[in-house]
Amino acid sequence: MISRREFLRGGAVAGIASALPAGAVIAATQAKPTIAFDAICDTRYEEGDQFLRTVSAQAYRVHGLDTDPGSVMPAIADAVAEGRSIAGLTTDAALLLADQLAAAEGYKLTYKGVHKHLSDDQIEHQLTLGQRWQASIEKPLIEADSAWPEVIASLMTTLVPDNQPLVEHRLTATAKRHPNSPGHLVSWILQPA
Amino acid sequence: MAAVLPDWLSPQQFSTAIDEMANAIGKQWVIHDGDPKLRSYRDSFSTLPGDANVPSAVIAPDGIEDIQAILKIANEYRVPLWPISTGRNFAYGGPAPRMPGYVVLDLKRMNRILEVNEEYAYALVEPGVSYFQLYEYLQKNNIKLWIDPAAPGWGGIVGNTLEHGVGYTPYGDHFMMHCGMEVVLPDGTLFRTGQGSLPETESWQVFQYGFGPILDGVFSQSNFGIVTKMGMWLMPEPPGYMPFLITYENEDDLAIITETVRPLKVNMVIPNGAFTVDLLWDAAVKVSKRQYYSGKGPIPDSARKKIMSDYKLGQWNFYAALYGPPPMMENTLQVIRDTLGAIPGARLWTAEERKHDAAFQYRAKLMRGEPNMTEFGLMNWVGGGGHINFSPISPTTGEDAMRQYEMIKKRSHEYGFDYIGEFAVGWRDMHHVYMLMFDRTDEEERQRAHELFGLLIDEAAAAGYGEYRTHLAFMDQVAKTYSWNDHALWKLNERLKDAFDPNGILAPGKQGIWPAHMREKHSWTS
Repeated sequence: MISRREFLRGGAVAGIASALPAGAVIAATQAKPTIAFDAICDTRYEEGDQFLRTVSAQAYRVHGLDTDPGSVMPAIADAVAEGRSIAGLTTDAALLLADQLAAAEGYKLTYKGVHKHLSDDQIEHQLTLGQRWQASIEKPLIEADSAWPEVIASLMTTLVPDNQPLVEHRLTATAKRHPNSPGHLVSWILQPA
Repeated sequence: MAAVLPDWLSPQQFSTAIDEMANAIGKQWVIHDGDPKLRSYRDSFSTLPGDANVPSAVIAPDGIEDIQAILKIANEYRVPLWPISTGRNFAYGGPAPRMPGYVVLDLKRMNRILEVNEEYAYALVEPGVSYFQLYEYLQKNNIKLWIDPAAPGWGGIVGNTLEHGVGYTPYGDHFMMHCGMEVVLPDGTLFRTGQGSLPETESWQVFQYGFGPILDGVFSQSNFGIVTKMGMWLMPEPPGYMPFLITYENEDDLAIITETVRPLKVNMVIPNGAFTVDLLWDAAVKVSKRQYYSGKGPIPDSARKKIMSDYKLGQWNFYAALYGPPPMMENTLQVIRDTLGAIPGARLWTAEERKHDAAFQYRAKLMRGEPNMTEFGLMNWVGGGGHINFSPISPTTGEDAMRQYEMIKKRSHEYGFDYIGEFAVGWRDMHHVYMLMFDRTDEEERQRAHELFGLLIDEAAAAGYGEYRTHLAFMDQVAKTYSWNDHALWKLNERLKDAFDPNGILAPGKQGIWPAHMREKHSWTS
């Protein structure tokens, strides 16, 4: 697991973001050819770190969460103030707070994935996403095993600008549960209307 | 998608009424017609299916005149209004209305801190003021007063107080600590309670009574008026603060803990809102169930033992705090050690010993009036977001505590859920809060949770335990249990409703109080 210190030091531009003045963050990220979205992940868990490693290359800013789900609130406030989309891999509690705050500003939940370990070797991915992504996501998720957060993170870049009608899709895959995994995480995208 | 509307309101009438309200207060303060912001007024975490209780519109007034204008139009068209302050308590329904199609009257713009008096230790606030907001105001202005927050700090002071919420400092009985209200009745009449009714008074926030009947209670947990200002007493910052935790090894210890704590509370040896907390409540702030158990049903005792060992927790964990000059606190702590600490297997922990414990730390913050959101982490115990609180009241006796605990635990286990609960110990009573957590992405589990909750209400009532507040979906059922003398109290509530709100526009059905025109369909009292 990436420690908080490493996370802030260099893994992600965005991790640095919370420690630097906003101007410095923008300067650091403007050079990146990315779609403007912030990413939020729960770095207490290996899945959060996996997600972070992949998404940090694409995100405008990345925020790490800790035991207090309320730590998501300033991150949402930052993104909403500037009208950026927000992608996350978090616990349900953090999503609840994020969604309530963003929805009040007119944001829509345009993608949601529920990732639920059915056993220590098996995971169910319950995805609500644009119909055209169904086929493309299934195979990589099944093949990913416990690296599924990286697949989800990769998908974020394509999903963020998406605005398709949502359909629900469930699939079960083999995936070894990390020892410290909570066994139930949610990935999500909130977009301005 | 067209909004669901109350069955007595045509789409044309609704549209006209909303347009008139928008003209009265400004179009930008009205949300309807599929506006994505409507999504934030759902209750997506309850035992109800899908997006139950979705409002048809939201309107956000900025003051008394706006409210009066809205009420006038609502009366004309009989538009049902559902007032909320911040609408953040998702264990009881959040911002969602009692029935789909109501118009939420969101008081979030009325978020002014009108006065803070450090000498007399009170604040006068509007309903949109959150605990975070008042706390930050006091910090920023270096005012040495403490608030008493609800566990989720984003909640509203007025809303929580009107719903009889409890907190963690010595000012934990919020309604007891309020002093003076300003209220708008459904017909637009504006009045103030207590000393506030005297035009030149300086005593509105220092003396709770006036001359004549005390009406404040009539406007708490009711649908008779809209509270637009409220005074709250604040606690002067004490010269010392000492939070502590005592862990207990056995489930049965709940009885002796409760018997021991009662005289300490009644005699104010323990001055604050103390809590006897179940193992899983404390653990769930930090870990999920699947980290210890991946099977179906309630977590087994072997896993509970492992959690106790890993996190140095007890089957029961008693949190309280002492306040005052350090020598006084030391003396009182010795009394605590000689009583609660003398129960076999008890261990008393200081703040220093639990400085890395997230569960201890968030409670230590709450007991010194520092709002936070850590308790929301409980929701991650099973994942899936579903949670609803069952909250029966009892006297502070060991027998009642064990009876409630065993009854609720037995039923929750039968239905495949963990018992996750705590007892908030007041001066003479206990609020037992059982947090029913379920995976809302599992339809069968959601239905099972709903069924269990309904069963608990009836069984608790049969044993003499009434709920002090409940989720929207169960308001009628709980109201029905307060049935002494052929539901005399609810019949009186209905008479008051008819007198205050003859058109039945304000929060119809809240607390099971229905207006005359909806009574035939919903009420059980006649």
